[in-house]
Amino acid sequence: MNRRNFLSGSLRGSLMLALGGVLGAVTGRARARNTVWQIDPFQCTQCGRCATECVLELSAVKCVHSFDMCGYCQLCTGYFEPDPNKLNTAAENQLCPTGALVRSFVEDPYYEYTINEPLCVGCAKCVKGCTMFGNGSLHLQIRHDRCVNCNECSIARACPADAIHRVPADRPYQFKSRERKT
Amino acid sequence: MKNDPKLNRRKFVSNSAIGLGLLSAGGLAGWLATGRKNNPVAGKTNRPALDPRFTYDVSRFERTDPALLRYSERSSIPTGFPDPSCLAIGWDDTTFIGGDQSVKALSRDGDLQFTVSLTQRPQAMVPTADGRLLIALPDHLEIYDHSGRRLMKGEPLGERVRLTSVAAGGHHIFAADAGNREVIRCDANGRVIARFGRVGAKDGTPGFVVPSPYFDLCYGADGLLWVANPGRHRLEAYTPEGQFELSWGSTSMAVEGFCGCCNPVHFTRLADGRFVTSEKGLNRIKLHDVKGNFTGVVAGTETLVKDLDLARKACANCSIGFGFDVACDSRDRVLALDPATKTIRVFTPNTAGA
Repeated sequence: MNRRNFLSGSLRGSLMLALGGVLGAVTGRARARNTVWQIDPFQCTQCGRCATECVLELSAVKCVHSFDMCGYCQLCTGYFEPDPNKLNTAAENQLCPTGALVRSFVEDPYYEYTINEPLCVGCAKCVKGCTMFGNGSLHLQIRHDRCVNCNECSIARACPADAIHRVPADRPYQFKSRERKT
Repeated sequence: MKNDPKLNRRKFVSNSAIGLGLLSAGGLAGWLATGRKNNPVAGKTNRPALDPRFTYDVSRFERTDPALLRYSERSSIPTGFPDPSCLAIGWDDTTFIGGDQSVKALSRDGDLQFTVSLTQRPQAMVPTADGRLLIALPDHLEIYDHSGRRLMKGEPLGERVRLTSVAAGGHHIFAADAGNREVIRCDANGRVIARFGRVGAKDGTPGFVVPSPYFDLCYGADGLLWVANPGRHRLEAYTPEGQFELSWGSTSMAVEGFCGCCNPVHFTRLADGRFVTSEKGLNRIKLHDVKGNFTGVVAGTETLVKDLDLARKACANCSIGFGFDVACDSRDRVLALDPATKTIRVFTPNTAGA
């Protein structure tokens, strides 16, 4: 081993290291481009951190509703306070602090519940009520019209249930359905 | 090109390995760096926790007043099923446990009497006074004798049928169909005679509101068919012909009423006609007199669900919440099927006639 051999070997080693770095970075970026973050609603424990951990001022996480699972209950535990004084739309009877859940009459005794998205902060209060007593048709999803798809999602890091994963960008949502119960 | 006379096979392999190693190390570093560098605030948003108004809290309803407790938990019986589904008692306190794709019959002393193998998961069962065992599977009924020999396998009971309970009385078999939200009345051999109770059917009934697949019924010694109408938070009584007679029950998170969107999920009757009801959401098993007045608690939430996280993990199929199926024996003991611990939990009265 003389000086020339040493320098030549070091140069080749450095080039290989740099080439590897470039390839790795390109692969990493491609992976991030082809995948997006999403919440597995069956793993979500409705801790409420989606509302505070997102880098956006108003979280990209919103409540969504799987109507095929909904019971269209008169007393929806996602809509009403735990012990409402009446089953009407008076503010004091509503569970959602921002009034983001809208109740409309379908036919006796069924009611439909829809989400006013701009008002939803993703706190999961309604999701918890629905999951605890009902069918769990209300659940949280990251909305990709808002999500900036950070390489490292703040909410995913904070999620105590490890419920947030990267999913293929061509299938960006994991909605609950009757078919998938677990 | 001149060959390097000093380069031999060993050196070539060694140099290649070093090169590949460096390439891999560089690649890994680059991949990791790409995944980290663009979000300097990850996990550091430093926003305050949510205001308590944004937290769903029913803890005040989860504690039971000790003065209301009429029963105590004495023992538990392992079901032996990874996925137990239903429970019934009859014939000299024989206990029937359904789960997976079979039903076990245990004697009063806990000895296995027979096992019935099925092709589907049993949803409910009832032993009849004439020594038959009726088993409701998701879409049809089967009838067995007292030794577990099959007497009859019924035809599927219709489209979208999802049976959740079965009862027998007045020479009829009654099956609760949560799929179509109606009661199916069959003859003693399981042939369909009539259906009633569907919302809007104009058959003189209030209509069953069944948001989730919990829809229980029971034929009483009073000659009435009692049916849980969970969406209306009450029990309703019908004649065997399906005529609505009376109802009791109220909506409330408080212990006197039925909580949540749809309760009770299961109920049974003691030998003297009193009712035992079971709720989901706030898991509670309660006692009511023959008129339906609340008289006490068999077991409250704090007793039934000691570890909610364990219950959630153990009850993987319980995405819609779970309730405890209940049955009573001749000694007024209340047996509850715990789907989380896969056991039958036995509650005995604190005092005679409690």
